[in-house]
Amino acid sequence: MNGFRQAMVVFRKEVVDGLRDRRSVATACFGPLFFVISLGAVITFVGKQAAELTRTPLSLPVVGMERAPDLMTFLRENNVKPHEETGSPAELIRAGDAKVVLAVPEDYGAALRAGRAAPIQLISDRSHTTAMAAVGRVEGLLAQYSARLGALRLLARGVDAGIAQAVALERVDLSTPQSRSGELLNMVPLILVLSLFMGGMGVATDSTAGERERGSLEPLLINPVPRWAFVIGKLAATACFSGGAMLACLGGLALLPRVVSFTDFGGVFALPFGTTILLLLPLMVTAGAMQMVVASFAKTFKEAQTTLGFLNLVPAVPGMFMVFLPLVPKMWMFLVPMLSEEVLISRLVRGESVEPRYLALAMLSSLAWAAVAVAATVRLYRSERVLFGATS
Amino acid sequence: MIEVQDLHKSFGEVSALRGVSFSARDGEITGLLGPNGAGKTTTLRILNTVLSADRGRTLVDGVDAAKEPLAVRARLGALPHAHGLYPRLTTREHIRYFGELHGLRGAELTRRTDEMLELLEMRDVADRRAEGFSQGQQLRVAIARALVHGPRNVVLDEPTAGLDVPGTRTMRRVIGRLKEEGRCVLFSSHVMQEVTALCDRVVVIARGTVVADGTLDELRRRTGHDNMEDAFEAVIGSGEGLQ
Repeated sequence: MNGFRQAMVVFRKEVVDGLRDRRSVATACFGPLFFVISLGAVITFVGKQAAELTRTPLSLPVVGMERAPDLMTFLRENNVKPHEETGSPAELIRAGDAKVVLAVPEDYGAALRAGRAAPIQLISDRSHTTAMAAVGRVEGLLAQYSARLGALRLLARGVDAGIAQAVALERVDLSTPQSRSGELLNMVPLILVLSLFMGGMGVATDSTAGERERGSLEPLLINPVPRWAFVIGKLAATACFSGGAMLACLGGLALLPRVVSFTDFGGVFALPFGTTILLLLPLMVTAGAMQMVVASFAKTFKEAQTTLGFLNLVPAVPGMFMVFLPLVPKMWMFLVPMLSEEVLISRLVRGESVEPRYLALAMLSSLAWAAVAVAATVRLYRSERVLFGATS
Repeated sequence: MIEVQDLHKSFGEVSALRGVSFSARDGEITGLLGPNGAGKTTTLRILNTVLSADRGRTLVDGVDAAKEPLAVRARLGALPHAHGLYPRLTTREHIRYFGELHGLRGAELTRRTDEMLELLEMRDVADRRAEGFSQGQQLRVAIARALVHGPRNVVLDEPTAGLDVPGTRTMRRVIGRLKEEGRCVLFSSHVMQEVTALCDRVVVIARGTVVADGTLDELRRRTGHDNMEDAFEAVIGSGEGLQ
């Protein structure tokens, strides 16, 4: 009897067994969805903050409002609603009643009229990151107001206002809507790869270390089946669960723009699903093979689970890096499994093009690593150590 | 027909087998009797091709297990020392899984599976998942899946351990039936009564070597004891580890 057909028999059994394992299925489905929901929540939150920065009227407590009526008018014209405040600004901030308070000293008016720099205080707590948007907005408006008054003073003395401006700065922004949202969307490759690993973990452990711990491995091995066929069948089942988790994650991501508003967030979400699935196909096998080799060498089910918990963190490392500092793709990166996929997906999700040769290189290198892991597992299954766990 | 020739096996410093030789013939029940730790399970594992011997060889129907492990496995039906089940599969699915791995398909697979359910008296739990099965039920599923392909040679490691009275009776009936069908049955036990009641021939193993080999009558004559239990104690040198 043909080994491939036997591998199919093993595959079918492991899939049925895995699907009946509620914990495996729950991890494969809800794990990725949890990631997507978290991402959606962050996008909504960031979008709200951005909206707050410009569009929503900012309510600004001011101490001594009547001392600067012209400034108040200017603020009102710019979507800020100043209101008189009598208490101590520091108390207001500490109590959390206000994020930023403007204080106009008594000598403000006198200094302004005398043509000196008029003192004004902006009170905030810079350790509160949520206050920064409001602080930045008021600071920007005060700078504009100051520049406007300054220009008027120069004009009154018959001087061209332009003379005070030595350098004319013109900001040219090359970012596209996609790339502006890039920082957050760098989480997409991370959650895709993490989903892939989480999805296969249950079957990978249960069909190897679990099989040994239950005592069902010895009877299984007495069947007239070449050992590689067991490994291939179990690996295929693991890869299927990885793939299921990946599809759950992609499905969640596809629904994301319908549920979460990207307009406030200032970016678009442009993940090409076909290319992404193609890119991740070999990684499903690599992830499964790596999990199987670890779980097969573990002495107990518990040891396998613990070690795989660590293994799952490995793909997270390059992913975490990219969330904060996007990597410039370099040739060597395409030889490292997971890193290559994450780098490419981080480009795809920002709507940047990816050269087919890079895509091919990433897929081939992942497959090569899968082959190494499969060879190690088959070697173990061929030796009698498989009965006891290789570490014993 | 099973032939075991001069098996040696060490695990690190411990030498588990120090020259084990015996044979088990077709149409006979051969008992492998010995105290716990004598080397019964190691011998059977080498025979089942899951361990390899340091020296010596095993032949099943004349096929060398070291040279053609797949051919030997196809000729064997084995209940190994560890015979755990898949808690999420039903009795029927367990039997079918092993049947398929042996190349059975379609109507033949279904027929053989039904025969096994009948033989092991498991019709009532055929479609129940193994989770929560009693020890006796688990053992019967393990035997059913080991015999689904109708092997000429049957190797059972402690097949009655942990069974209640009806379970033991079923097991004895199954073993007797295998003999009637002309198969070669080899089973290990540390229960003297079990061996006395079932076996045509006994191989007594202690401390990694065979200390006696023959029919029950031959053993009685050799030791001068009419009582089999006294005879066993006499050849092993002590009754320790036996029941």
